[in-house]
Amino acid sequence: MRSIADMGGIQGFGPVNRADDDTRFKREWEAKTFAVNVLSLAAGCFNIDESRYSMERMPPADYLTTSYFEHWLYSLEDLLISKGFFTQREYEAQIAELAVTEAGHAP
Amino acid sequence: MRHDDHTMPPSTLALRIKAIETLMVEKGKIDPGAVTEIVDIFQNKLGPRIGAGVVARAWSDPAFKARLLDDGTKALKEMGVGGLQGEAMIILENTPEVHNVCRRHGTNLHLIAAASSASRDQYLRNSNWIFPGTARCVFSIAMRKSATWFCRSALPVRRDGARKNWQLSSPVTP
Repeated sequence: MRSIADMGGIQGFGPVNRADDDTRFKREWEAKTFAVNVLSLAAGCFNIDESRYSMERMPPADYLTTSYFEHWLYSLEDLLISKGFFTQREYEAQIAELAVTEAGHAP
Repeated sequence: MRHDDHTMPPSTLALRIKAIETLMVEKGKIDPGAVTEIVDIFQNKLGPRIGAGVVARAWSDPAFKARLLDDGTKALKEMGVGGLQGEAMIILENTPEVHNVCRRHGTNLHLIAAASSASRDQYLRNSNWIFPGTARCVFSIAMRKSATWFCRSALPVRRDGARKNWQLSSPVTP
């Protein structure tokens, strides 16, 4: 079965943007997403095949409209929750808590 | 996690990864400070300049270039280049007759030549496959020499600057 991630040979996406040749992370969340992924892999939470397969199972419309590191973030959420490292409830509570904390620091 | 049932309120990307990091530290799966350390390494200590140094030496040191083409992994170690995702390196040279093509992977490969942002562009991922008849594909070469998942390859840019094609790529994985 082909997933949307298997794009080999598909045409019609328009020209590649070669002007954007910066190798650095564009945002802090991208760097963190990369690092958390590497560390989770190193800790044996999942393997690289599971990671790729998770991204490939993203809903096709989401896959096409999200950025490279958003795919990584999606697979982290998918794998860490489905494998029971933390629950969906814990995750949502943590996000809510952080949102309050961040709001408190806002000018 | 089910993403299609929309139970989670929209959150910013920054909050999402911060929440994951916090939970993983709490659960003892990630050491406190490890994320900062990894980011520092990949942001500041690794990057394309390492690969540029290897290419520059290959231009000026023919014996090194020969070793590089013969056994990339071994030759790179002479310059202290190796480690994660550099376990099996294949270096190929473009000539006026042969233009090698790496089937590029979307992953960011910071080890020698960090992949350009363009290679993270999903639209680029398909481009090498469109005209397979016109280029020798690294895939077959890599499979012949080493069938590991982590087999990487690099195409040093020609000194005459004819083509900006120095890339590190993953020829085996899709």
